[in-house]
Amino acid sequence: MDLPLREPTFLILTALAAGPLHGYAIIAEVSTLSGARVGLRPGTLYGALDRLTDDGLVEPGAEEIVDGRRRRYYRLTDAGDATLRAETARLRANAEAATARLRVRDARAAGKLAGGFA
Amino acid sequence: MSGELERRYRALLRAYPAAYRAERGDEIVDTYLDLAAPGRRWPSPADVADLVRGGVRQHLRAAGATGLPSALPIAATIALALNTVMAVFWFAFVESTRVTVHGTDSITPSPGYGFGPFASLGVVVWGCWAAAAVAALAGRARALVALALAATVLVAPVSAVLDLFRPPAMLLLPMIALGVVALAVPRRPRFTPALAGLASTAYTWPTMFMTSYTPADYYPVVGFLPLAAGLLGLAVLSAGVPLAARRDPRAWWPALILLGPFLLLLVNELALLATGNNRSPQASMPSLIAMAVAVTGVTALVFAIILGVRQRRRTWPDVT
Repeated sequence: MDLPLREPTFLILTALAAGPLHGYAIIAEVSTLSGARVGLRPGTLYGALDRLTDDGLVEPGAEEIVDGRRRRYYRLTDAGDATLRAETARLRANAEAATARLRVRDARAAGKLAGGFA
Repeated sequence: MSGELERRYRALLRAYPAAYRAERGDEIVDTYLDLAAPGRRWPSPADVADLVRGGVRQHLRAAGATGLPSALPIAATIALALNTVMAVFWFAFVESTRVTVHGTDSITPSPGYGFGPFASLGVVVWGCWAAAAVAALAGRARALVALALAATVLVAPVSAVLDLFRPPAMLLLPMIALGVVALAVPRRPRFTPALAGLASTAYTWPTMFMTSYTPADYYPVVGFLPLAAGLLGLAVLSAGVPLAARRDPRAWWPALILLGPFLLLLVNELALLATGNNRSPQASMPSLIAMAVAVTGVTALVFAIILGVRQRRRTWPDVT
């Protein structure tokens, strides 16, 4: 899958990074990870999981019945792990570059302020 | 209560292919039920939209057309850009020229001609498309595209009721087809439609002034439609070639999505060709209607054949 990943895809892979999860748990985890900003609905989630399965990044695993409801667990594959790591490195590099530039900006603003008082 | 909700979710699952429903239906419905607030009896409108969208995606996936949904935003951006180009063109070459043609000289306008200082109600439609292109800059074009599409559909019947001059159907039809595609314009900022509108502005007004152009009527300018078809072909190639070079599955789906609007832009030329009419620059209304129906049918047939072939390849991979 090409980088950059779309945010919901990135969050689904991130949710699965800690271990296999079923659909409802993925929705809850994505909501937590995004501070309730990204709310996936089941139709969208299962569509995304099918696409990620087609791309070999995720694979369906064991099924269980809890309180009469079917739950199938999904886990990250090695390719999914590699994609998530590559995307995380890309985002980290961007964040570090932005942080460095903002430090320069803060320093310049502080210099101007000091100059103004002098 | 939960049984009622479950039954309604299962009814909505009919949007999915039967085989997929048999395999995954329980899992999807059970996840909806996990998320439902206690006492809920009906799926929300957002759930309905989610399931219908999911069902359409699964039908396309089953047909091996997974690139189609992700190609829609590309096709929609091209469609909105072309409608903006045409809106600017019609406004400049027709609507704005009425101000000079009939505002100051002695020509008596025909009955029903004119809408304020402009030639027709078309000015409202073109304004809506320009507003949609501006809204796309902020990633908020969808509502305005829907409004512009509704205005494009309604301008003919409303003008008929009010007995007003109006843009011709051969011009409105391809814009309606492009407008339907443009409804899928992404919710991310898109600059192409506004830039295309600016380019159209940069071309139209200098051309008008250089040629002292003053027809204030639509029929002399419908000759622009084949040029618009050429622009559409060029835009599809410019988007498709780099994607194809990267083996992106979306590459040629915009071409297929925009095939219908492309043929509708050429409907006048195709009708003239089919009827062997070389005496008039405009085809007769019956031949235009027949050709519009024919090109819509051809587009649907091409879609059906391509999806059918892809589905057969997926079902019997050894055959190919």
